[in-house]
Amino acid sequence: MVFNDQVTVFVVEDDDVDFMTIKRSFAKTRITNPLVRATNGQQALTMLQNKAVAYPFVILLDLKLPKLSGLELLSSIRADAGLADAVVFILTTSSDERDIIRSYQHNVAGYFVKEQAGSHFLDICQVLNGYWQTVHFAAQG
Amino acid sequence: MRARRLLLIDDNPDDIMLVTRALRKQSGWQYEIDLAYTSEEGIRAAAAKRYDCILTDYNFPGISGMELYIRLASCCPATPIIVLTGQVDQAIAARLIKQGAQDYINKGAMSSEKLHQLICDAIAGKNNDVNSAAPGKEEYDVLVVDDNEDDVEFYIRGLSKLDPGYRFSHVNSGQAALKVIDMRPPDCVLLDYCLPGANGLDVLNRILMLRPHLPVIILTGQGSETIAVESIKRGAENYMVKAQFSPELLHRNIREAVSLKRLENALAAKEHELETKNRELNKTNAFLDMVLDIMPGYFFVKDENFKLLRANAQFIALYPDKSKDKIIGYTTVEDYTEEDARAFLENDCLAFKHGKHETNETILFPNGEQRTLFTQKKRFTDEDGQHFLMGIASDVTEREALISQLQKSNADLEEFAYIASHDLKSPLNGIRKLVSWIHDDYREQLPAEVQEYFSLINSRAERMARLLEDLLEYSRIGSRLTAPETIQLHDMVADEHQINDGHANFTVHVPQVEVVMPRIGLQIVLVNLLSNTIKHHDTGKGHIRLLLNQAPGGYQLEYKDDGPGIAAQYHHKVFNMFQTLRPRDEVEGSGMGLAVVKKVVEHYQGHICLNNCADGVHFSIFWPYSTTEGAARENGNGI
Amino acid sequence: MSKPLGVILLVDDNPDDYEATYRSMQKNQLNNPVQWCQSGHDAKDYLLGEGKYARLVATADGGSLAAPQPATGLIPPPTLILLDLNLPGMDGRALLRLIKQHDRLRSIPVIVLSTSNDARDVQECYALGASTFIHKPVNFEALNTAIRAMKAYWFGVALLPATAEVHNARA
Repeated sequence: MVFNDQVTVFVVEDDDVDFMTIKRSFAKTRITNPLVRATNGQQALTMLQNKAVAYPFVILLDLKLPKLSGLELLSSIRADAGLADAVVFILTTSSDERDIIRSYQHNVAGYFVKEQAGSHFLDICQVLNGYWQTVHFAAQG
Repeated sequence: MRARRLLLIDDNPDDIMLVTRALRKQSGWQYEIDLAYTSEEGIRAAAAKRYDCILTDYNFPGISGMELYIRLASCCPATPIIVLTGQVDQAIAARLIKQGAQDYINKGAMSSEKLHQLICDAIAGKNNDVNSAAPGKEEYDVLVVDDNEDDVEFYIRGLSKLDPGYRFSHVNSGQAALKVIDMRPPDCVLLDYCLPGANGLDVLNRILMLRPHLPVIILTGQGSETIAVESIKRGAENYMVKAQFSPELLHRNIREAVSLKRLENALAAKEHELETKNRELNKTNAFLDMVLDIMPGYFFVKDENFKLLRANAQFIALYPDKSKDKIIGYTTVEDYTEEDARAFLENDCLAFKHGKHETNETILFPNGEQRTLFTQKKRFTDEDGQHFLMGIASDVTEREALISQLQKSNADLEEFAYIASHDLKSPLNGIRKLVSWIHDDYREQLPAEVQEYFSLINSRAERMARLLEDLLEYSRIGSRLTAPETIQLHDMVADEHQINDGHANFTVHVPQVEVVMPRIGLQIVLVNLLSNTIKHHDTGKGHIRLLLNQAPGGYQLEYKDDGPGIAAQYHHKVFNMFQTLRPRDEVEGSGMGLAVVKKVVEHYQGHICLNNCADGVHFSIFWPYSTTEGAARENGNGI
Repeated sequence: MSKPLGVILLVDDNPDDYEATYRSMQKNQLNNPVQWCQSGHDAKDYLLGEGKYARLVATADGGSLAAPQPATGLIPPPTLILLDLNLPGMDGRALLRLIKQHDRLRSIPVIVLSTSNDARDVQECYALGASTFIHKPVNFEALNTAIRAMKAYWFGVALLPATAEVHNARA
């Protein structure tokens, strides 16, 4: 049995301010899970393939990324037998219907729009946290 | 070589030789001649077989020439009979001709050409006769030209007794006759051969010159058969000797002459009419061809075997010169690529099956050109129940290219707006976040002035965010719009009204009607119009009226509010992007609302206009009925 | 508001579990209509508009998910699927595989609810394309917590594909 607060949160995000937002929000909502960050899709894929992210982990993925875009990274993850079962959440500025459908077609565990600063994102973190306490994650890849 | 079958009846071997040799010399004609050596044999042969012409001798033992003629004529009335006379007996000849023989020829004076000509004329003459039919009850306007009052009296009385249809006029000189004929031609002329101071034949000539088709019967006191034959050869219709005169015979002759001439005239008129009709038909055909050729497009007709029956010049021009004579009457599929040919046949079959077919096809033509055609095919059925396919194709190569170019540039534009607004949003969000963190973490340490600046930064950043959001929305309209469905207008307006802030102070009057319109498109239009009213209302409280009428081809929506309205000089600006008429610090708005409304309405080929109105705004929207409405309903479960 | 809420498809062979889940949803004011299928086959028929659901359901094949519900009274594809793993006949894994390999159904999030604690089950479900794996709580209080979290998550903060978005955004 894995305690859910031991789950590593792997954040793939190129924008420093956005990453700071996540850090601040986690701190405010007392989410203590370890945070690991990649700043582009290619770096994230390499880290995952080299098992540089400690199991168990979830991925918070931005769609707009340099080098390898979020959806491309997602496709690569789903196509990789060793990573196919990874739990991925999308966290993006895009509320475009095509992005939402394509993401769910790749079995994401949720799709969130980082609307603005302020309390909205804190809500997301709180719910995410609550949800993580409820759901089971695969222990080993 | 043209062939004619003759029956020659003669008992004199020398004469037979004479005739057969004479006819053999006629190059270009082959005469098949059956021989009969006795009158009996001749009559049997004439009865048994159909000949083009019969040549018969006049003198046979045991039967008179006249009797033989009558028997021959009775067993084959349609066959012309030419009498060969050995002796110079023109009186007999004339009698025979009167009886119906086509002509006679003196064996002694016979030449090859003359005999051949005689046969030709005889056949031609008889063919005309065949067309004549028995006359019915008719009136006869007869001009009697005779200087003998007694004779005239006699004819008139005799004929009137036989038929009440006679009307007579009478003159006693050739000169007077010509005058009457010129002024009012009668149906028939009875011409005395011996008029004072005039030659009968001369008068006859002049009459026929004046009226070539007028039947003239020659009456003569002397029984001169020479005159008779000559008259008839010159065009008289018949000949009578006064001494042998009987009213019955004259009556019959007149009647026959008149009806023959009338039939001839009728025939000539018919022929003329036919010729005119033919000419008209040819003209119509030529005109049709001209129209088809001048038509800007390709035209063709195919039969059920997919063979081309007709095609216009443009269509023919699609083929290279060497195969131009292999189009009409051919399927021509072998001139196209296998793929194109298969598509044609499939489309043809569909058109035959369903009555019509339409398609846009890009085809490599036999002349090597590749074009895009919009082709419509329609089935039709002629009077005999045969099915055909009519095809009209117009060249839409340039148009299609333009459309795809436009579609691409439209897509590019939307993509650009999307990426631009999206990429601009991220740094903006960063700025807003950082400002809010400064506010959260260091609020107490900042002077009031700086706090004021930060709040200004915040409001500007928010405005920019809204601009970007609306721009994004605008660029996405196309991909969000859907097919029409049945909507309760009242319910939808109520729903959309509640979305806008400040809706509680505004009442909306909407009719309880059902419309078939695209849901999302209508939602976008309504919410923007309502929001526009609420934002710009001068008292912050008001009434909105929505009317829906059926206009030809679509819905007519009238939207009215009781706000301050829009001054006429700004009417042309309100639908522009980012257009606001009041400072943004007074009314928050990106100025995209009405631009979005316009884009949606125009997406559905409708139009919107702002009417001049003293009290409030009045928008008129025409929203065409959807052409896919039927299809969506038929499909039932899907759009 | 008259807009229909997206259907939640609940696949569970145990009537008691269904009853408990449904009550918990009511209690948490998760008012979306619930379609209950008692077997994998039944759920498959429902999703594909086959068998007894033919002509009743707007299947995923019948139109785009992004299209709004046509005015024919048909039920659109579900917004969310709650799936029990152990089902008679076609089991939850097979149904999950079918959904995730179906062109139009695959974008519907599937939440696996299972009594299983086996790490291999969890991993297999994620690999097959489940969005989340929730351990089926044993008492009603725990179930309530799970449903509340689920509601807050899926209908509070997460964005769902259009059928769900359109119907829930203003609900």
